[in-house]
Amino acid sequence: MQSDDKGQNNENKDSASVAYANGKFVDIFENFFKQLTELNKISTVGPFISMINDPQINVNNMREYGNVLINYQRYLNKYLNQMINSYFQALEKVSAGIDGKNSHETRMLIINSFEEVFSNMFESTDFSVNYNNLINIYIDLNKSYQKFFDASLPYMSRQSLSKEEKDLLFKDLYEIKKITLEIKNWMKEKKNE
Amino acid sequence: MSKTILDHYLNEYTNFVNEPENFRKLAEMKKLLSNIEKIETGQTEYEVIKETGLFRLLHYKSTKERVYKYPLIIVYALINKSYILDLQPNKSWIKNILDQGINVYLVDWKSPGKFDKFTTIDDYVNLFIYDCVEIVKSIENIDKVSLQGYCMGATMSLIYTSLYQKNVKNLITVAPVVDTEKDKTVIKNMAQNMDIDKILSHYENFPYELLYSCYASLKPFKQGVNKYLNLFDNLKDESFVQNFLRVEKWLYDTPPIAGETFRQWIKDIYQKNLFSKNKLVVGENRINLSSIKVPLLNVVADQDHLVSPECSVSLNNLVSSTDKNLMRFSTGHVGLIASGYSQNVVLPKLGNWIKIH
Repeated sequence: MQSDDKGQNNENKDSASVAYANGKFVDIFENFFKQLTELNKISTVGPFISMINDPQINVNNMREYGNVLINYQRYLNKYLNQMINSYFQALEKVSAGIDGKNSHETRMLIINSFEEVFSNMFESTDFSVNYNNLINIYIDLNKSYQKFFDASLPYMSRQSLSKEEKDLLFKDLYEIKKITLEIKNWMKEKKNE
Repeated sequence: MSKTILDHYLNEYTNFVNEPENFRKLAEMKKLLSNIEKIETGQTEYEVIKETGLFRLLHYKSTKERVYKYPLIIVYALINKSYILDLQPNKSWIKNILDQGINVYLVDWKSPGKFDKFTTIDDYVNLFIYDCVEIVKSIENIDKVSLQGYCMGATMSLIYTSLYQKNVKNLITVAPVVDTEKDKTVIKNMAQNMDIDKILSHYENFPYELLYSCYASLKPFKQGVNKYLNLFDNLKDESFVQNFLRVEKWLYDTPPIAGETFRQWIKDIYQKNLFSKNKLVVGENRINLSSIKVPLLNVVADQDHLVSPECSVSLNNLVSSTDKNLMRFSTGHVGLIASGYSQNVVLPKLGNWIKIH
Protein backbone atom coordinates (compact mmCIF):
# COMPACT_ATOMS: atom_id res chain seq x y z
CA MET A 1 0.00 0.00 0.00
CA GLN A 2 1.45 3.34 -0.99
CA SER A 3 2.08 6.24 1.37
CA ASP A 4 -0.36 4.78 3.82
CA ASP A 5 0.57 6.80 6.93
CA LYS A 6 1.20 9.90 4.87
CA GLY A 7 -2.15 9.36 3.21
CA GLN A 8 -3.85 9.13 6.58
CA ASN A 9 -2.27 12.39 7.73
CA ASN A 10 -3.35 14.09 4.54
CA GLU A 11 -6.76 12.61 5.03
CA ASN A 12 -7.12 14.29 8.42
CA LYS A 13 -5.74 17.55 7.10
CA ASP A 14 -8.13 17.41 4.12
CA SER A 15 -11.10 16.74 6.31
CA ALA A 16 -10.31 19.71 8.49
CA SER A 17 -9.79 22.08 5.60
CA VAL A 18 -12.83 21.10 3.56
CA ALA A 19 -15.99 22.82 4.62
CA TYR A 20 -18.38 19.97 3.88
CA ALA A 21 -16.50 17.11 5.56
CA ASN A 22 -17.41 16.49 9.17
CA GLY A 23 -14.01 16.00 10.81
CA LYS A 24 -15.42 14.50 13.96
CA PHE A 25 -17.38 11.92 12.00
CA VAL A 26 -14.28 10.93 9.99
CA ASP A 27 -12.28 10.52 13.25
CA ILE A 28 -14.98 8.34 14.81
CA PHE A 29 -15.19 6.28 11.64
CA GLU A 30 -11.40 5.83 11.53
CA ASN A 31 -11.25 4.82 15.21
CA PHE A 32 -14.09 2.38 14.73
CA PHE A 33 -12.26 0.63 11.92
CA LYS A 34 -8.98 0.61 13.82
CA GLN A 35 -10.70 -1.08 16.75
CA LEU A 36 -12.42 -3.51 14.45
CA THR A 37 -9.03 -4.41 12.98
CA GLU A 38 -7.69 -5.09 16.47
CA LEU A 39 -10.76 -7.18 17.24
CA ASN A 40 -10.08 -9.26 14.17
CA LYS A 41 -6.68 -10.20 15.58
CA ILE A 42 -8.33 -11.84 18.61
CA SER A 43 -9.08 -14.93 16.56
CA THR A 44 -5.33 -15.78 16.70
CA VAL A 45 -5.20 -15.99 20.54
CA GLY A 46 -6.96 -17.94 23.32
CA PRO A 47 -9.57 -20.60 22.57
CA PHE A 48 -10.04 -19.31 19.04
CA ILE A 49 -6.59 -20.65 18.09
CA SER A 50 -8.13 -24.10 17.76
CA MET A 51 -10.14 -22.89 14.83
CA ILE A 52 -6.94 -22.24 12.85
CA ASN A 53 -6.08 -25.89 13.12
CA ASP A 54 -9.43 -26.87 11.73
CA PRO A 55 -8.88 -27.49 8.03
CA GLN A 56 -12.58 -27.11 7.36
CA ILE A 57 -12.67 -23.49 8.38
CA ASN A 58 -9.88 -21.40 7.00
CA VAL A 59 -9.74 -18.81 9.74
CA ASN A 60 -6.54 -17.28 8.44
CA ASN A 61 -8.20 -16.55 5.13
CA MET A 62 -11.23 -15.17 6.89
CA ARG A 63 -9.18 -12.91 9.13
CA GLU A 64 -7.20 -11.64 6.15
CA TYR A 65 -10.44 -11.12 4.25
CA GLY A 66 -11.87 -9.13 7.17
CA ASN A 67 -8.86 -6.84 7.26
CA VAL A 68 -8.94 -6.33 3.51
CA LEU A 69 -12.63 -5.50 3.67
CA ILE A 70 -12.01 -2.92 6.39
CA ASN A 71 -9.27 -1.25 4.38
CA TYR A 72 -11.45 -1.37 1.28
CA GLN A 73 -14.17 0.47 3.19
CA ARG A 74 -11.60 2.99 4.39
CA TYR A 75 -10.26 3.84 0.92
CA LEU A 76 -13.70 3.77 -0.62
CA ASN A 77 -14.88 6.16 2.07
CA LYS A 78 -12.01 8.53 1.32
CA TYR A 79 -12.67 8.29 -2.44
CA LEU A 80 -16.36 9.06 -1.96
CA ASN A 81 -15.48 11.91 0.40
CA GLN A 82 -13.25 13.46 -2.27
CA MET A 83 -15.97 13.11 -4.91
CA ILE A 84 -18.71 14.53 -2.68
CA ASN A 85 -16.56 17.44 -1.53
CA SER A 86 -15.76 18.32 -5.13
CA TYR A 87 -19.43 18.10 -6.03
CA PHE A 88 -20.35 20.59 -3.30
CA GLN A 89 -17.47 22.90 -4.19
CA ALA A 90 -18.64 22.92 -7.81
CA LEU A 91 -22.22 23.62 -6.75
CA GLU A 92 -21.01 26.53 -4.65
CA LYS A 93 -19.13 27.91 -7.64
CA VAL A 94 -22.25 27.63 -9.81
CA SER A 95 -24.38 29.21 -7.12
CA ALA A 96 -22.02 32.20 -6.89
CA GLY A 97 -22.25 32.99 -10.60
CA ILE A 98 -25.73 31.94 -11.67
CA ASP A 99 -27.57 35.24 -11.17
CA GLY A 100 -28.77 36.92 -14.35
CA LYS A 101 -27.63 34.13 -16.68
CA ASN A 102 -29.84 32.70 -19.43
CA SER A 103 -30.36 28.99 -20.04
CA HIS A 104 -27.33 28.48 -22.32
CA GLU A 105 -25.03 30.56 -20.11
CA THR A 106 -26.14 28.59 -17.07
CA ARG A 107 -25.41 25.30 -18.82
CA MET A 108 -21.91 26.51 -19.67
CA LEU A 109 -21.40 27.82 -16.12
CA ILE A 110 -22.35 24.43 -14.68
CA ILE A 111 -20.10 22.52 -17.08
CA ASN A 112 -17.13 24.86 -16.63
CA SER A 113 -17.45 24.97 -12.83
CA PHE A 114 -17.69 21.19 -12.50
CA GLU A 115 -14.86 20.73 -15.00
CA GLU A 116 -12.54 23.03 -13.07
CA VAL A 117 -13.23 21.57 -9.64
CA PHE A 118 -13.14 17.91 -10.70
CA SER A 119 -10.08 18.34 -12.95
CA ASN A 120 -8.21 19.93 -10.02
CA MET A 121 -9.15 16.94 -7.93
CA PHE A 122 -8.07 14.39 -10.58
CA GLU A 123 -4.76 16.22 -11.01
CA SER A 124 -3.99 16.20 -7.26
CA THR A 125 -1.45 13.83 -5.72
CA ASP A 126 -3.88 13.04 -2.93
CA PHE A 127 -6.48 11.70 -5.34
CA SER A 128 -3.89 9.76 -7.32
CA VAL A 129 -2.53 8.07 -4.16
CA ASN A 130 -5.96 7.22 -2.80
CA TYR A 131 -7.36 6.03 -6.14
CA ASN A 132 -4.39 3.74 -6.67
CA ASN A 133 -4.71 2.46 -3.09
CA LEU A 134 -8.35 1.71 -3.84
CA ILE A 135 -7.37 -0.28 -6.94
CA ASN A 136 -4.76 -2.18 -4.91
CA ILE A 137 -7.17 -3.04 -2.13
CA TYR A 138 -9.78 -4.09 -4.69
CA ILE A 139 -7.19 -6.50 -6.08
CA ASP A 140 -6.52 -7.80 -2.55
CA LEU A 141 -10.24 -8.32 -2.15
CA ASN A 142 -10.38 -10.35 -5.34
CA LYS A 143 -7.38 -12.36 -4.23
CA SER A 144 -9.16 -13.14 -0.97
CA TYR A 145 -12.17 -14.47 -2.89
CA GLN A 146 -9.80 -16.51 -5.02
CA LYS A 147 -8.24 -18.02 -1.87
CA PHE A 148 -11.65 -19.15 -0.64
CA PHE A 149 -12.40 -20.58 -4.04
CA ASP A 150 -9.04 -22.39 -4.23
CA ALA A 151 -9.50 -23.74 -0.69
CA SER A 152 -12.93 -25.09 -1.63
CA LEU A 153 -11.80 -26.82 -4.82
CA PRO A 154 -10.70 -30.11 -3.19
CA TYR A 155 -14.13 -30.45 -1.54
CA MET A 156 -15.89 -29.71 -4.81
CA SER A 157 -13.83 -32.41 -6.60
CA ARG A 158 -12.79 -29.85 -9.20
CA GLN A 159 -9.36 -29.22 -10.62
CA SER A 160 -8.08 -25.87 -11.71
CA LEU A 161 -4.70 -24.38 -12.51
CA SER A 162 -3.39 -21.80 -10.07
CA LYS A 163 -2.32 -18.35 -11.31
CA GLU A 164 1.33 -19.42 -10.99
CA GLU A 165 0.73 -22.59 -13.02
CA LYS A 166 -1.09 -20.62 -15.71
CA ASP A 167 1.75 -18.10 -15.82
CA LEU A 168 4.26 -20.90 -16.37
CA LEU A 169 2.16 -22.20 -19.23
CA PHE A 170 1.73 -18.75 -20.77
CA LYS A 171 5.45 -18.05 -20.42
CA ASP A 172 6.27 -21.29 -22.30
CA LEU A 173 3.77 -20.42 -25.02
CA TYR A 174 5.23 -16.93 -25.30
CA GLU A 175 8.78 -18.30 -25.59
CA ILE A 176 7.73 -20.77 -28.29
CA LYS A 177 5.98 -18.03 -30.30
CA LYS A 178 8.93 -15.66 -29.93
CA ILE A 179 11.50 -18.27 -30.97
CA THR A 180 9.35 -19.25 -33.97
CA LEU A 181 9.19 -15.64 -35.13
CA GLU A 182 12.92 -15.17 -34.63
CA ILE A 183 13.67 -18.32 -36.63
CA LYS A 184 11.34 -17.14 -39.41
CA ASN A 185 13.04 -13.72 -39.53
CA TRP A 186 16.47 -15.35 -39.53
CA MET A 187 15.48 -17.69 -42.37
CA LYS A 188 14.10 -14.75 -44.35
CA GLU A 189 17.37 -12.85 -43.91
CA LYS A 190 19.38 -15.89 -45.00
CA LYS A 191 17.17 -16.28 -48.07
CA ASN A 192 17.67 -12.62 -48.99
CA GLU A 193 21.44 -13.00 -48.69
CA MET B 1 -28.43 23.53 -2.98
CA SER B 2 -29.24 27.21 -3.23
CA LYS B 3 -32.64 28.41 -4.36
CA THR B 4 -31.27 29.86 -7.60
CA ILE B 5 -29.77 26.57 -8.77
CA LEU B 6 -32.91 24.71 -7.74
CA ASP B 7 -34.98 27.27 -9.63
CA HIS B 8 -32.83 26.75 -12.69
CA TYR B 9 -33.15 22.95 -12.51
CA LEU B 10 -36.93 23.13 -12.02
CA ASN B 11 -37.28 25.61 -14.85
CA GLU B 12 -35.19 23.49 -17.24
CA TYR B 13 -37.03 20.34 -16.21
CA THR B 14 -40.45 21.93 -16.75
CA ASN B 15 -39.42 23.25 -20.15
CA PHE B 16 -38.07 19.82 -21.08
CA VAL B 17 -41.14 17.78 -20.12
CA ASN B 18 -43.52 20.28 -21.71
CA GLU B 19 -41.97 19.58 -25.11
CA PRO B 20 -42.95 16.08 -26.37
CA GLU B 21 -40.31 16.30 -29.13
CA ASN B 22 -37.63 16.02 -26.42
CA PHE B 23 -38.78 12.51 -25.47
CA ARG B 24 -38.64 11.43 -29.11
CA LYS B 25 -35.12 12.84 -29.33
CA LEU B 26 -34.07 11.00 -26.17
CA ALA B 27 -35.42 7.73 -27.57
CA GLU B 28 -33.55 8.35 -30.82
CA MET B 29 -30.32 9.04 -28.94
CA LYS B 30 -30.71 5.84 -26.97
CA LYS B 31 -31.27 3.87 -30.18
CA LEU B 32 -28.26 5.45 -31.90
CA LEU B 33 -25.93 4.82 -28.97
CA SER B 34 -27.07 1.25 -28.44
CA ASN B 35 -26.39 0.42 -32.11
CA ILE B 36 -22.98 2.03 -32.13
CA GLU B 37 -21.25 -1.28 -32.92
CA LYS B 38 -22.81 -1.26 -36.37
CA ILE B 39 -21.39 2.09 -37.41
CA GLU B 40 -18.86 1.79 -40.23
CA THR B 41 -15.28 3.03 -39.90
CA GLY B 42 -12.09 2.52 -41.87
CA GLN B 43 -13.40 2.89 -45.40
CA THR B 44 -10.16 3.28 -47.34
CA GLU B 45 -9.40 0.08 -49.23
CA TYR B 46 -6.38 -1.94 -48.09
CA GLU B 47 -4.64 -5.26 -48.50
CA VAL B 48 -3.48 -7.33 -45.52
CA ILE B 49 0.19 -8.01 -46.19
CA LYS B 50 0.87 -9.98 -43.01
CA GLU B 51 -1.20 -11.05 -40.04
CA THR B 52 0.01 -12.62 -36.77
CA GLY B 53 -1.62 -12.99 -33.36
CA LEU B 54 -0.61 -9.47 -32.35
CA PHE B 55 -0.43 -7.34 -35.48
CA ARG B 56 -1.50 -6.84 -39.07
CA LEU B 57 0.54 -5.04 -41.70
CA LEU B 58 -1.88 -3.21 -44.02
CA HIS B 59 -1.09 -1.67 -47.40
CA TYR B 60 -3.54 1.03 -48.50
CA LYS B 61 -4.59 1.25 -52.13
CA SER B 62 -4.48 4.50 -54.02
CA THR B 63 -5.26 5.60 -57.55
CA LYS B 64 -3.18 8.77 -57.18
CA GLU B 65 0.18 9.09 -58.86
CA ARG B 66 3.03 8.47 -56.40
CA VAL B 67 5.18 11.55 -56.01
CA TYR B 68 7.40 10.27 -53.20
CA LYS B 69 9.82 7.40 -53.62
CA TYR B 70 9.84 6.04 -50.07
CA PRO B 71 6.86 4.21 -48.55
CA LEU B 72 5.45 5.60 -45.31
CA ILE B 73 4.90 3.10 -42.48
CA ILE B 74 2.53 4.35 -39.78
CA VAL B 75 2.95 2.76 -36.35
CA TYR B 76 -0.24 3.13 -34.34
CA ALA B 77 -0.44 3.26 -30.52
CA LEU B 78 -1.36 0.29 -28.29
CA ILE B 79 -4.30 2.28 -26.91
CA ASN B 80 -7.65 1.91 -28.70
CA LYS B 81 -7.85 0.90 -32.36
CA SER B 82 -6.09 2.23 -35.43
CA TYR B 83 -9.29 3.05 -37.37
CA ILE B 84 -9.19 6.53 -35.82
CA LEU B 85 -6.63 7.18 -38.58
CA ASP B 86 -9.26 6.27 -41.18
CA LEU B 87 -12.45 7.28 -39.42
CA GLN B 88 -14.47 8.45 -42.44
CA PRO B 89 -13.46 9.66 -45.92
CA ASN B 90 -13.49 13.38 -45.09
CA LYS B 91 -11.61 12.87 -41.83
CA SER B 92 -9.17 10.14 -42.79
CA TRP B 93 -5.52 10.74 -41.95
CA ILE B 94 -4.53 7.84 -44.19
CA LYS B 95 -6.65 8.87 -47.20
CA ASN B 96 -5.31 12.42 -47.01
CA ILE B 97 -1.68 11.19 -47.14
CA LEU B 98 -2.52 8.76 -49.96
CA ASP B 99 -4.13 11.61 -51.92
CA GLN B 100 -0.91 13.58 -51.57
CA GLY B 101 0.82 10.85 -53.59
CA ILE B 102 2.48 8.97 -50.71
CA ASN B 103 2.47 5.17 -50.47
CA VAL B 104 1.04 4.18 -47.05
CA TYR B 105 1.44 1.07 -44.88
CA LEU B 106 -0.04 0.72 -41.39
CA VAL B 107 1.06 -1.41 -38.44
CA ASP B 108 -2.30 -2.28 -36.89
CA TRP B 109 -1.94 -3.81 -33.41
CA LYS B 110 -4.32 -6.60 -32.41
CA SER B 111 -5.78 -7.13 -28.97
CA PRO B 112 -3.48 -9.27 -26.78
CA GLY B 113 -4.91 -12.44 -25.27
CA LYS B 114 -4.10 -13.73 -21.79
CA PHE B 115 -1.26 -15.84 -23.15
CA ASP B 116 0.33 -12.68 -24.66
CA LYS B 117 0.95 -11.25 -21.20
CA PHE B 118 4.72 -11.70 -21.47
CA THR B 119 4.99 -9.72 -24.70
CA THR B 120 7.40 -6.85 -24.11
CA ILE B 121 8.24 -3.49 -25.70
CA ASP B 122 11.30 -5.32 -26.99
CA ASP B 123 9.00 -7.71 -28.90
CA TYR B 124 6.88 -4.86 -30.29
CA VAL B 125 9.97 -3.06 -31.57
CA ASN B 126 12.59 -5.71 -32.32
CA LEU B 127 10.24 -8.36 -33.68
CA PHE B 128 7.00 -6.77 -34.92
CA ILE B 129 8.01 -3.31 -36.19
CA TYR B 130 11.30 -4.79 -37.37
CA ASP B 131 9.41 -7.47 -39.29
CA CYS B 132 7.03 -4.93 -40.87
CA VAL B 133 9.88 -2.68 -42.04
CA GLU B 134 11.73 -5.63 -43.57
CA ILE B 135 8.59 -6.78 -45.39
CA VAL B 136 7.90 -3.29 -46.81
CA LYS B 137 11.52 -2.88 -47.87
CA SER B 138 11.35 -6.21 -49.65
CA ILE B 139 7.98 -5.50 -51.37
CA GLU B 140 8.96 -2.01 -52.49
CA ASN B 141 12.53 -3.09 -53.32
CA ILE B 142 13.96 -0.18 -51.37
CA ASP B 143 16.54 0.17 -48.57
CA LYS B 144 14.76 2.74 -46.38
CA VAL B 145 11.26 3.69 -45.30
CA SER B 146 9.66 6.82 -43.99
CA LEU B 147 8.43 6.05 -40.44
CA GLN B 148 5.57 7.75 -38.61
CA GLY B 149 4.30 6.95 -35.12
CA TYR B 150 1.35 8.25 -33.13
CA CYS B 151 1.39 8.59 -29.31
CA MET B 152 2.78 5.30 -27.90
CA GLY B 153 3.47 4.33 -31.51
CA ALA B 154 5.69 7.42 -31.85
CA THR B 155 7.67 6.35 -28.78
CA MET B 156 8.09 2.85 -30.24
CA SER B 157 9.11 4.37 -33.61
CA LEU B 158 11.78 6.39 -31.81
CA ILE B 159 13.08 3.25 -30.12
CA TYR B 160 13.14 1.45 -33.49
CA THR B 161 14.91 4.37 -35.18
CA SER B 162 17.58 4.55 -32.48
CA LEU B 163 18.34 0.86 -33.13
CA TYR B 164 17.93 0.55 -36.90
CA GLN B 165 18.74 4.00 -38.26
CA LYS B 166 19.96 2.66 -41.57
CA ASN B 167 16.40 1.58 -42.40
CA VAL B 168 14.81 4.98 -41.75
CA LYS B 169 14.76 7.74 -44.38
CA ASN B 170 12.97 10.16 -42.08
CA LEU B 171 10.91 10.03 -38.89
CA ILE B 172 7.62 11.73 -38.04
CA THR B 173 6.50 11.61 -34.42
CA VAL B 174 2.92 12.69 -33.68
CA ALA B 175 2.27 13.47 -29.98
CA PRO B 176 5.13 11.25 -28.75
CA VAL B 177 5.52 10.32 -25.08
CA VAL B 178 9.11 11.34 -24.31
CA ASP B 179 9.92 13.47 -21.26
CA THR B 180 7.31 12.38 -18.74
CA GLU B 181 8.71 14.55 -15.93
CA LYS B 182 7.25 17.48 -17.86
CA ASP B 183 3.90 15.78 -18.38
CA LYS B 184 1.11 17.51 -16.40
CA THR B 185 -1.82 15.34 -17.48
CA VAL B 186 -4.21 13.30 -15.34
CA ILE B 187 -2.75 10.19 -17.01
CA LYS B 188 0.71 11.04 -15.70
CA ASN B 189 -0.76 11.81 -12.25
CA MET B 190 -2.49 8.41 -12.15
CA ALA B 191 0.57 6.59 -13.55
CA GLN B 192 2.91 8.20 -11.02
CA ASN B 193 1.34 6.38 -8.06
CA MET B 194 0.24 3.23 -9.86
CA ASP B 195 1.44 -0.07 -8.37
CA ILE B 196 1.67 -1.84 -11.70
CA ASP B 197 3.35 -4.92 -10.16
CA LYS B 198 0.34 -5.42 -7.91
CA ILE B 199 -2.12 -4.96 -10.76
CA LEU B 200 -0.26 -7.46 -12.92
CA SER B 201 -0.03 -9.92 -10.03
CA HIS B 202 -3.78 -10.27 -10.43
CA TYR B 203 -4.53 -9.50 -14.10
CA GLU B 204 -2.70 -11.03 -17.06
CA ASN B 205 -2.79 -7.84 -19.14
CA PHE B 206 -3.61 -4.27 -18.14
CA PRO B 207 -7.43 -4.38 -18.19
CA TYR B 208 -9.48 -2.08 -20.37
CA GLU B 209 -11.74 -1.23 -17.41
CA LEU B 210 -8.85 0.57 -15.72
CA LEU B 211 -8.03 2.41 -18.93
CA TYR B 212 -11.68 3.52 -19.17
CA SER B 213 -11.67 4.84 -15.64
CA CYS B 214 -8.58 6.87 -16.46
CA TYR B 215 -10.18 8.27 -19.63
CA ALA B 216 -13.31 9.17 -17.67
CA SER B 217 -11.16 11.54 -15.58
CA LEU B 218 -9.97 13.48 -18.64
CA LYS B 219 -12.12 16.56 -19.26
CA PRO B 220 -15.03 14.80 -17.51
CA PHE B 221 -17.62 17.53 -18.06
CA LYS B 222 -16.46 19.52 -21.09
CA GLN B 223 -16.12 16.32 -23.08
CA GLY B 224 -17.75 13.62 -20.98
CA VAL B 225 -21.09 15.36 -20.37
CA ASN B 226 -21.24 18.24 -22.82
CA LYS B 227 -20.76 16.01 -25.85
CA TYR B 228 -24.07 14.21 -25.15
CA LEU B 229 -25.85 17.56 -24.74
CA ASN B 230 -24.36 18.60 -28.09
CA LEU B 231 -25.56 15.37 -29.66
CA PHE B 232 -29.05 16.04 -28.31
CA ASP B 233 -28.98 19.55 -29.81
CA ASN B 234 -27.67 18.34 -33.19
CA LEU B 235 -29.70 15.19 -33.77
CA LYS B 236 -31.05 16.53 -37.07
CA ASP B 237 -27.55 17.11 -38.45
CA GLU B 238 -26.76 13.75 -40.07
CA SER B 239 -23.10 14.55 -40.66
CA PHE B 240 -22.62 15.64 -37.01
CA VAL B 241 -24.35 12.50 -35.72
CA GLN B 242 -22.35 10.11 -37.93
CA ASN B 243 -19.07 11.76 -36.94
CA PHE B 244 -20.06 11.71 -33.26
CA LEU B 245 -20.92 8.01 -33.38
CA ARG B 246 -17.68 7.04 -35.11
CA VAL B 247 -15.55 8.86 -32.54
CA GLU B 248 -17.72 7.49 -29.72
CA LYS B 249 -17.29 3.95 -31.01
CA TRP B 250 -13.52 4.43 -31.13
CA LEU B 251 -13.40 5.92 -27.61
CA TYR B 252 -14.92 2.78 -26.11
CA ASP B 253 -13.11 0.29 -28.35
CA THR B 254 -10.24 -0.25 -25.94
CA PRO B 255 -8.28 -3.49 -25.93
CA PRO B 256 -6.18 -4.50 -22.91
CA ILE B 257 -2.43 -3.86 -23.09
CA ALA B 258 0.07 -6.73 -22.85
CA GLY B 259 1.14 -7.02 -19.19
CA GLU B 260 4.93 -6.87 -19.51
CA THR B 261 4.73 -4.07 -22.08
CA PHE B 262 2.60 -1.95 -19.79
CA ARG B 263 4.77 -2.75 -16.76
CA GLN B 264 7.82 -1.26 -18.49
CA TRP B 265 5.75 1.60 -19.94
CA ILE B 266 4.57 2.67 -16.48
CA LYS B 267 7.70 1.98 -14.43
CA ASP B 268 10.49 2.95 -16.79
CA ILE B 269 8.85 5.57 -18.99
CA TYR B 270 6.27 7.26 -16.72
CA GLN B 271 7.61 6.74 -13.19
CA LYS B 272 11.39 6.85 -13.77
CA ASN B 273 11.44 8.87 -17.03
CA LEU B 274 14.27 6.63 -18.30
CA PHE B 275 13.47 7.20 -21.99
CA SER B 276 14.35 10.88 -22.03
CA LYS B 277 17.38 10.23 -19.81
CA ASN B 278 18.77 7.76 -22.38
CA LYS B 279 18.64 5.00 -19.76
CA LEU B 280 15.74 2.91 -21.07
CA VAL B 281 16.75 -0.69 -21.73
CA VAL B 282 14.78 -2.55 -24.40
CA GLY B 283 15.80 -6.20 -24.74
CA GLU B 284 19.59 -6.11 -24.73
CA ASN B 285 19.90 -2.50 -25.86
CA ARG B 286 20.06 0.78 -24.00
CA ILE B 287 18.09 3.33 -25.99
CA ASN B 288 20.04 6.48 -26.69
CA LEU B 289 17.93 9.20 -28.29
CA SER B 290 21.02 11.26 -29.06
CA SER B 291 22.07 8.53 -31.51
CA ILE B 292 19.17 9.50 -33.80
CA LYS B 293 20.47 11.50 -36.75
CA VAL B 294 17.75 11.04 -39.38
CA PRO B 295 15.54 14.02 -40.38
CA LEU B 296 12.86 14.43 -37.73
CA LEU B 297 9.44 16.07 -37.77
CA ASN B 298 7.85 16.33 -34.34
CA VAL B 299 4.11 17.15 -34.48
CA VAL B 300 2.58 18.40 -31.22
CA ALA B 301 -0.93 19.47 -30.16
CA ASP B 302 -0.93 22.47 -27.84
CA GLN B 303 -4.22 21.45 -26.17
CA ASP B 304 -3.27 17.79 -25.77
CA HIS B 305 -4.66 16.53 -22.44
CA LEU B 306 -3.36 12.97 -22.87
CA VAL B 307 0.29 13.79 -23.58
CA SER B 308 1.38 17.26 -22.44
CA PRO B 309 2.94 19.30 -25.25
CA GLU B 310 6.01 19.88 -23.02
CA CYS B 311 6.44 16.10 -22.75
CA SER B 312 6.64 15.81 -26.58
CA VAL B 313 8.48 19.02 -27.43
CA SER B 314 11.58 17.95 -25.43
CA LEU B 315 12.35 15.40 -28.12
CA ASN B 316 13.85 18.01 -30.45
CA ASN B 317 16.54 18.77 -27.85
CA LEU B 318 17.34 15.11 -27.28
CA VAL B 319 18.06 13.86 -30.81
CA SER B 320 21.22 14.66 -32.81
CA SER B 321 19.46 15.18 -36.16
CA THR B 322 20.70 18.33 -37.87
CA ASP B 323 17.46 18.46 -39.84
CA LYS B 324 14.78 18.58 -37.17
CA ASN B 325 11.46 20.39 -37.17
CA LEU B 326 8.79 21.03 -34.59
CA MET B 327 5.23 21.78 -35.69
CA ARG B 328 2.77 22.86 -32.98
CA PHE B 329 -0.95 22.99 -33.65
CA SER B 330 -3.77 24.54 -31.70
CA THR B 331 -5.82 21.36 -31.19
CA GLY B 332 -6.09 18.30 -28.94
CA HIS B 333 -4.70 14.75 -28.99
CA VAL B 334 -7.47 13.29 -31.16
CA GLY B 335 -8.20 16.54 -33.03
CA LEU B 336 -4.62 16.37 -34.28
CA ILE B 337 -5.34 13.21 -36.28
CA ALA B 338 -9.11 12.99 -36.85
CA SER B 339 -10.72 16.36 -37.46
CA GLY B 340 -11.45 18.90 -40.16
CA TYR B 341 -8.60 20.97 -38.70
CA SER B 342 -6.26 18.05 -39.13
CA GLN B 343 -7.31 17.64 -42.79
CA ASN B 344 -7.01 21.32 -43.67
CA VAL B 345 -4.09 22.48 -41.54
CA VAL B 346 -1.98 19.60 -40.15
CA LEU B 347 -1.83 17.10 -43.00
CA PRO B 348 -0.92 19.46 -45.88
CA LYS B 349 2.12 20.64 -43.87
CA LEU B 350 3.04 17.09 -42.87
CA GLY B 351 2.75 15.83 -46.47
CA ASN B 352 4.92 18.66 -47.78
CA TRP B 353 7.57 17.95 -45.16
CA ILE B 354 7.69 14.26 -46.12
CA LYS B 355 7.98 15.08 -49.82
CA ILE B 356 11.01 17.36 -49.39
CA HIS B 357 12.82 14.92 -47.12
